[in-house]
Amino acid sequence: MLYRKYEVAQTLPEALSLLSSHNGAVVRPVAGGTDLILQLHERILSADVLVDISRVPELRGIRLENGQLVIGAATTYTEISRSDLVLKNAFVLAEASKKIGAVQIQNMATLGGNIGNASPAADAIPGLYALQADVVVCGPNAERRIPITEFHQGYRKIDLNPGELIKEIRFAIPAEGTGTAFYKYALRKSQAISVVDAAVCVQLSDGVIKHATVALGAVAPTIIRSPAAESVLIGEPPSEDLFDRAAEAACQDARPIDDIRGSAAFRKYLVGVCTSHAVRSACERAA
Amino acid sequence: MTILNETLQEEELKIQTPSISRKDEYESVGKSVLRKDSVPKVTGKAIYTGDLHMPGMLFGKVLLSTQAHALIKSIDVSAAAAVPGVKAVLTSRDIPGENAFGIAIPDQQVLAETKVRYIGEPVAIVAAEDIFAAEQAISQIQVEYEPLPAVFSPFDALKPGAPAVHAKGNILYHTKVRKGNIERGFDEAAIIVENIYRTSGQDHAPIEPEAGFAWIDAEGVLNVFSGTQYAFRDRRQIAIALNLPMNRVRVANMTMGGGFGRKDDVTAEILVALLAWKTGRPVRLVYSRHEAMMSQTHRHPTYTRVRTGANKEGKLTAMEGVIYGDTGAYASLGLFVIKKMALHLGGPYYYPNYKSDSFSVYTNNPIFGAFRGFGVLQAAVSHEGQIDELAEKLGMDPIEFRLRNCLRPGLSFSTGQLMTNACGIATTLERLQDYLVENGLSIELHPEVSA
Amino acid sequence: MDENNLIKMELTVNGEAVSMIVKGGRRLLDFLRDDLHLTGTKEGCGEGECGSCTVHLDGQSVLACLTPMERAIGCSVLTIEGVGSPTNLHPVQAALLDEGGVQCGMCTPGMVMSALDLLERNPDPTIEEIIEGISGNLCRCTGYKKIIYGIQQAAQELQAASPAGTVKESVE
Repeated sequence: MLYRKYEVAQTLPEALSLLSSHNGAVVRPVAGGTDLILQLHERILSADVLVDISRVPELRGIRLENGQLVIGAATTYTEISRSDLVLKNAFVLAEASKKIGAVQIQNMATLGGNIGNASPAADAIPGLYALQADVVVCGPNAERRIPITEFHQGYRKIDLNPGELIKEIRFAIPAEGTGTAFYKYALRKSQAISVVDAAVCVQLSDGVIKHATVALGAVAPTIIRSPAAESVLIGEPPSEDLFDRAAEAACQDARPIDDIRGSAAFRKYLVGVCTSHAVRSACERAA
Repeated sequence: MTILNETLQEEELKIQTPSISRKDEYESVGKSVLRKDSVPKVTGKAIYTGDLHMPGMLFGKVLLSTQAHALIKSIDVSAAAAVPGVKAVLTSRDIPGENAFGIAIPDQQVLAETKVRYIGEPVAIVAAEDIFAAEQAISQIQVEYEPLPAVFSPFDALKPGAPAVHAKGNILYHTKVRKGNIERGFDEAAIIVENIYRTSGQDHAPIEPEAGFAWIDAEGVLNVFSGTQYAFRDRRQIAIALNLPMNRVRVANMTMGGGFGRKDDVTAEILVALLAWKTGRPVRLVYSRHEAMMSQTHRHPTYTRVRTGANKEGKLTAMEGVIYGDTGAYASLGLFVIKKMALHLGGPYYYPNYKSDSFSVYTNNPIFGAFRGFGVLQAAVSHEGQIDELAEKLGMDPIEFRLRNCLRPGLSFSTGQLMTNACGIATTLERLQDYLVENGLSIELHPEVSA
Repeated sequence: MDENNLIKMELTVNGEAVSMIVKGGRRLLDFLRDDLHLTGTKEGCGEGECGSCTVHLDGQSVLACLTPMERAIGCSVLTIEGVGSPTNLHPVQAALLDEGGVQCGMCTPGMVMSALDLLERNPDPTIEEIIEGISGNLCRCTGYKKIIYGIQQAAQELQAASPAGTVKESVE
């Protein structure tokens, strides 16, 4: 058996109470299950009780709230990639969602799961870094709101206490004239983990980049921002030369390693490729 | 060694290929016919080995070696046998017959006895009432290993004093091919190119991982069902390992979910047969993808140095090559794959003078065996590279250069075998030429990807 | 906590109500294959890479090897056994046969389920959209082309049969 008991939560308070009501037992929440069930099956993780949070209404759906886009943690990638709110306001997330696994995985996997699994190659997270999103977590007594850059503390290490759940993601709707883009290099188009990826938001004003965020995936223990690339971009008009310089700057901030998917040197090279593609697309969409 | 004489070359074009019969004379040749088994497959009704089920069926599981090269000091199965639901935990000591099998040479152990030679070699097997009990039992088996120095490339394996994977030494087989006079051939060459080519290992990854199902019928006959490429050879090897007369073993071929050469070898058949024989119950053993990748055969990695010469007229004069094929821990079909590579190293071209040597070498890597192409496509990497480079250096069109040198009826292959028919390379190249002309295309030697 | 972890699986499978007491704590794939003996759903990798175990859960394609079985309680599951029978093939199945898209057959059930999911959402897909639609399914025999052409042919036939573009699966 992969687990001994499966409980389905109908509400958020019920989910929180189920999570903390089994003394001494290993209790894990499950939404899409695409990471968790695999890890249980391969005995990488163990669990006594699974608490199904996939139908908890408070954790689902996408909405606008006071100029902020709110995405429930148990929202699937299929839902994100088809959401008009996301397509209009945070295209980078829709673009990334279409690159995760393949159709079946997108139908199952959730944004909260990707954040909680905290892989440095997670495809949805660079977009959240670029959008300067916050993670809202809730526990039995209180909610906390944490910038995603602080939520991910290190390699697969997150700021989540026992009994807490990732509730939702929030970020300010990007200003008028903003374009966003995600670019992923992997060994095949689908069902592949990123060798390197990049997510970019740029805001154009009078033909000049007023604001820019550049996030890189699979080049450090966590997703990172590239301050060097951002400072190259800000204040300049988009041009091929600028994209090249931003790419070069991003390479300085990347700290990739050698692994089964590629060497550190190849990854450094790819940082430039992914950054320039993503910056170019973002600028085109901003214009 | 050659049967080719000098005059034969002039006779080459006088032998004509037989004319091709009209398609509509045949029932199926040239026609689109429905596969007999495709309706059950497309409706999910086809029965593969892992789909079999019988009342009282047990679930089998294999413990694989975690060491590349090590002596087995002891195996303690007591904790595993005590897991509730476990009906059998077997090691090499429980094999009634010979603990040896192999598709070509019986150099492989059914279950490792005193030594393991690769990570993934079966060491013990379990049968239990459900798969979870079988998994738990596997995790409870204690194997004490004494690691030995290991070799992971043919070059390391051939060094003086290298650890011996097998007592007889690390060279499984040396193939020599000699034709004509290689020195004279290179003397006649106006241009010679020499390169080293390396090809990597590859997993067949049939979508169906290896599986076996075994049960004993009312007459006491051991039935083994599996998706296998060669039921009769499996039957013989099962009988030897279980010390049974052949007429007590029946092997039936289930629908096979892809083999590509790998299911030519015995895969799960002997192990599942042992479990059924010892427990008297039906047993199903299905490898996970991970287990299949670790324990089953793969495509040979190869390392080739090759020299090829051509004269000013654009005719090949000589080819000389040395091949090192990594055959892994056991022979499988590694003798024949690497032998075939030596024969085909020149490709579908005529060389009056040809010399090749291939070495199939044991290492502590996983086993490498038969895989679609059987050594010929590793050879293609090098002969096509050589031909392209020669054409470029001679300033010739690469198709024209190939047409001047390709095998035709009346010419001889590397082994001296005279081609009579079935060498359609010239026709193929000519049709390619026509196609390029018709479509206004040309071939570049190092084409860049472009729109 | 019940050590045997017996649970009641109540759901709809291929249009029929199912209610049975079985061991919990397993994957939907195990429930379908071992308890219901619906072995048309295949396990090729067990880790969500190959798509051989694709089924529809409440009308969406999912991987049965990554779905906890209890997730399906109260849901409607469609497997290859519910798509068409040898004497009454679904147009996708017939077109795969027609185009020669079936070889060893191990990926075929998953391919059919992904194709159905695609055509449900997009009755008139381009070749690129077909490729994307089956990108979660691996085939080692065919080289994919014949499968892609089969799905394209099926889409054309389904479109012709239902000009409004409202294609419905044979079950549900």
